[in-house]
Amino acid sequence: MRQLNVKNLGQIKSANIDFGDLTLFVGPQATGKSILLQLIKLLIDGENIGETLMKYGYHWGEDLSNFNELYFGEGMRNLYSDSTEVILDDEEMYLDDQLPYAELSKGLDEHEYLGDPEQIFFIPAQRVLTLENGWPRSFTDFEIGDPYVVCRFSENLRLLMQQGFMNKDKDNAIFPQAGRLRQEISDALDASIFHGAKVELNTVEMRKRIQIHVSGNKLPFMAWSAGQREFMPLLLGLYWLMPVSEDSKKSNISFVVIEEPEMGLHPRAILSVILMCLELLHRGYRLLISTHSPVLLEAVWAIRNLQNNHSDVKYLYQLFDLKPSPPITELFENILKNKKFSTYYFDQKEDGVEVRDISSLDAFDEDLSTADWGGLTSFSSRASEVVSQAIQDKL
Amino acid sequence: MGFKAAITATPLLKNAYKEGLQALGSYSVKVKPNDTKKCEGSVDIDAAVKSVYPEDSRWDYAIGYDGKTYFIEIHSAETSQVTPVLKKFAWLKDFLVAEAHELNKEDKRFYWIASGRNHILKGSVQERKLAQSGIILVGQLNL
Repeated sequence: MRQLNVKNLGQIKSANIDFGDLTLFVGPQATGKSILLQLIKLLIDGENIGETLMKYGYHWGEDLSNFNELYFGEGMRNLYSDSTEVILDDEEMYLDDQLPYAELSKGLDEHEYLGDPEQIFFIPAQRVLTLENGWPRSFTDFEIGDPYVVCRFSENLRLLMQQGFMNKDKDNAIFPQAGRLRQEISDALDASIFHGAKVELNTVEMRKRIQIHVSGNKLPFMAWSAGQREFMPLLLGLYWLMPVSEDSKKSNISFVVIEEPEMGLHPRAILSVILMCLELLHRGYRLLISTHSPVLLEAVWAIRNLQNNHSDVKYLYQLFDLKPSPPITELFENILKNKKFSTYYFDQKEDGVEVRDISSLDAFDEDLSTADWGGLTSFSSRASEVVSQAIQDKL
Repeated sequence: MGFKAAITATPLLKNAYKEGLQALGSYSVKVKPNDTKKCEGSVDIDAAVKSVYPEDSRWDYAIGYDGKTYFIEIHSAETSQVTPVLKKFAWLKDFLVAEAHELNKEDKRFYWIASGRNHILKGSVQERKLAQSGIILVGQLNL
């Protein structure tokens, strides 16, 4: 997947996207970022999605509106219209007859799609809902109106917990966990989010539950800090993408979508999450991330400037406040030399949302959306302007 | 070659060399050296070249410290002053190429020191313009 062109999809009037290795989506609430990310998954993983829905007993007949409500969530029946146009890598996609849902929904007996692996791993914004009471909910535990990507993510976590953690004989550690993350990244997460506390999988009243073990106390999921609760499913999702085996990545997964990785986190913790994103890039995943955090943009802006300047990796060490080590040097060199970073702004106009390329993030750009990063830093800039003006008026 | 020798090799600046931070006059309080023995001297570029470049936006000072040359502009830190300071910076880079070859070979750092309070927020587009240009804005320079 290199390029996507969309016209008239929900509130999106037009979107022309050239994917980088990391592509950021920024813009105000309800401008279609999540819809576009879900559409991308649907275009790539259509067969797998249809098959999964069938497996869990869902039925949508041959009605694309029904399917839209099932996949995108309640209220999304009329997402497509006659003027909707979707072009993926120069190929026009006809959503109602190109996708296999109708065939699939008739039954699993004679179709050819079984076993099509998932290519996009989607970590949704609603991820905290997946870990209710400290254990991932199953796919069918969600309501019909809940988006597919939330149910699927939760199911993936449940399988990870069952297969990845419960079979371990002695060690009940989830974080830190030996051999799972690079030591530097694990240390950064510990310093910024867990502060020495251990995350464990314990048996509570005959049920497995994730708990935080701190100062001799074992805290249930609902007693954690908001940021820790938000971060836990993200961490488990990243564990899923970083197998302990010799393979550095899941072979079938090419893209990872992360919606708002900054949720509930302090900027220092966001920096640790960005490090994990760079690790994913290094392992060969491509990332699509929606965000409202200036910190992510600051990191991308800095990396792009270092790339343009052909700068040494020592500056990335300074940026992330890490001590040099050969594995991290290899990671940083790969990022600076080989990875492309793109940013798109979902610009709300009177007649709909225009998705625009602001990848340069150049402070000198005449287009204010590019210079002020789609409005993410416009308040800092305006506050400086206002105070400067007030002071000068008194001089 | 070192700061003093580089200044001596620059015809327009050689007579303006001062020991320590003396060239900064009363603004020397804006610069805090950790070890004064490492100060290699200073020069008031603005005053030294005024007669040659009377109409130009000239940069203020250069300081030699511990093997590096610090070019500093002491200026009010208002958003409206970002463009004038960038203009001075452009002039300085041209000046170094045209008139100060030896100084240009030194290890260089560029600072805008706020003459009063700093009214340019971290994270604002104005601050990023300076960073992209290679200028660091500070309240005082700690060496």
